Amino acid sequence: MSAPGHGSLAAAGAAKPSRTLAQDLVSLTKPRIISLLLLTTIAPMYVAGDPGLGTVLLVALGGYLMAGGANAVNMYLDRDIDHVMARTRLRPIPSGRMQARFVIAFGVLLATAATWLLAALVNVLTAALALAGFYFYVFVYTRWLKRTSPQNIVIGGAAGAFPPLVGWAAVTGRLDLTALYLFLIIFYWTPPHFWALALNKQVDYGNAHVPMAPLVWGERETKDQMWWYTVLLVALTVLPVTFGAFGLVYLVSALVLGGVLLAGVWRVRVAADFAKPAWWVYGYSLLYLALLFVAMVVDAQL
Amino acid sequence: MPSLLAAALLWGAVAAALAGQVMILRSSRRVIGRTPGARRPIEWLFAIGPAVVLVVVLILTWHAATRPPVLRMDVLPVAGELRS
Repeated sequence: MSAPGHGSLAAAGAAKPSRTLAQDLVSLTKPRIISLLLLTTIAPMYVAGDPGLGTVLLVALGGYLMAGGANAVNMYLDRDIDHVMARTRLRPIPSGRMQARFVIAFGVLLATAATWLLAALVNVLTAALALAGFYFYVFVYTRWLKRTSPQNIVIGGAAGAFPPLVGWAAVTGRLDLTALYLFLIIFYWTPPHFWALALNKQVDYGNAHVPMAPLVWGERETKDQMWWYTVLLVALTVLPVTFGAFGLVYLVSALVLGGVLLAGVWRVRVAADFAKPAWWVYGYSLLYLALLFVAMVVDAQL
Repeated sequence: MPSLLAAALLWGAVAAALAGQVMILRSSRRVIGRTPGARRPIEWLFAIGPAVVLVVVLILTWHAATRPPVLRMDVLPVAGELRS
């Protein structure tokens, strides 16, 4: 496998002068992805209690640095396949704008700063959970599962489920059954969301030799599992109501949002040409998760 | 929430969650059967691990949802009793 990313910053500037160093540094952290991670970190803080603005800002900053560090290290580890896939070949390393060594140093620096910030200014449990999410994403998902198992998204999805635990621990200093549910909701949301993308990007993943479920299991089994994961997800979103964690506003929101998601995934499952419905599920599932967490906050504040 | 509705919600959601997990395991059995032998145990672990966690969480949920409410009895003596 080739190892791109050894070009100098100066050479990179000549190749694509419109991008500044600052823009590339920000792009290494994948800010669009982090915005949803931050929502699923901060919303649970308002469900768990009444956090001060200072705590919320510290957790948001620490969360951004930790997730940004993980994303930068991910780009370093994936530098040999990023140039193969259309959606990743313009990243700073494969396009030659940044040296690989610089990118990993940047990622580790961000994660170190986040750990210190959260441990010193919030609490140790919050820092430990955020760091666990970093290690899980870097070593368990990117380094181990992504290129070896079609269940990479299933088990690796746990990395994206750490943010609610971080937010919860920042306010309460502990974890409980409600926090565990927030973790599970994101865990079971991840497969249908990413398999909707993988169904439409099979050529890309195939070129990069990433064993995504549609390539290894076939489209039919993947679509079947997407459906059952969504059924399980919607059921899990309802269960916290039964032990008093949330009330009627959240219950109605979860059922309506979940019903729309189920309808979308069903269309993917039964359609002969699944491209459009799969893109729709990929986009709507992002909105679904965001609105579900907003509904939790609204319900908790009523 | 009325207790009958709460019970229906609990058992309906538990049934849907378990049905979903069982169907995922059935699908996993089909696809893992087609993977190379050396990788099968680890793929089975990836399939069964979340199912075990789910069952534990559902048991915890059942305990939390059916736990009788804790009654707090204030035992401050009334003024008359204090005087006597």
